[in-house]
Amino acid sequence: MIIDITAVEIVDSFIGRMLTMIGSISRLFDAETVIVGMRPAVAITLTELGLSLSGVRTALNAEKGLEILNGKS
Amino acid sequence: MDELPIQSGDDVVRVRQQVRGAAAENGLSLVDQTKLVTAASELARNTLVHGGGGVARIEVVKSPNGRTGVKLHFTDEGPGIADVDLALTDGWTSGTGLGLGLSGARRLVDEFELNSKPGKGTSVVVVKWSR
Repeated sequence: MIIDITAVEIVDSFIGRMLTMIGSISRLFDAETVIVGMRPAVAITLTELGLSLSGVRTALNAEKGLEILNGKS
Repeated sequence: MDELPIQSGDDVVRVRQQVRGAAAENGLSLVDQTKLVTAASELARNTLVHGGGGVARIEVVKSPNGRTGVKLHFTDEGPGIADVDLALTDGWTSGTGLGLGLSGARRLVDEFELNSKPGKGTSVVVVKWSR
C-alpha cells in the first residue's frame, strides 16, 4: 500500500500515530505500507518531534514507493 | 491579538491555519513555520483532549535586537498537570498516545513555558523567532 502525503503540510504525533496504525493493520493482511512524498520541512520536523514512524517505510515519490513494493530495492 | 476557541477537532485545524498565516507573514522560514505549526497542533490537541477545551492566542512579538517572533498562548481550565517534569519526559503518556506531544513541542520552539495548577488548569506559552 502506498500513502501519498505530498499535500500534507504537517505531521504531528496524532497523524503519525494514525500512519503507524494503518501500517500495522495492513501488516495483518500481509501488505507492506510505504509513505511517499513527505515534504522536506515535514521530515525535519518529524525527526525533531521524535517520531520514528516505526513499521512503515518511506520513499521519495510514488514511483520509488512502487519499486520498494515490487521488490526492486 | 487574536483569540481562538479550542472546543473541537475543527478548532484545532483553524488554530493551525492561523498560526501558519502568522508565521508566514512574520518572516519565519518554511522549516520554522512547519515546526511552529506542528507544535501548535500538539498543544492545541492537548488543550482539547486533556484540558477539556480552552483558548489559543496568537501574538507577534519583537526582541530587543529587532527580531520578530510569533508567540502562542494555550490556556485551559482543565484538571491541570500533577507532575510537570514527568509530563515533559519523552515517552511518558497519560493515555494511549506516544508521549511525544508535550516534550516534542518543546523541542520545536525557541521558548517554552508551562504553568499548571492541579484542579485549576494549564497554560503553555511558546515563541518561535525569525532567523
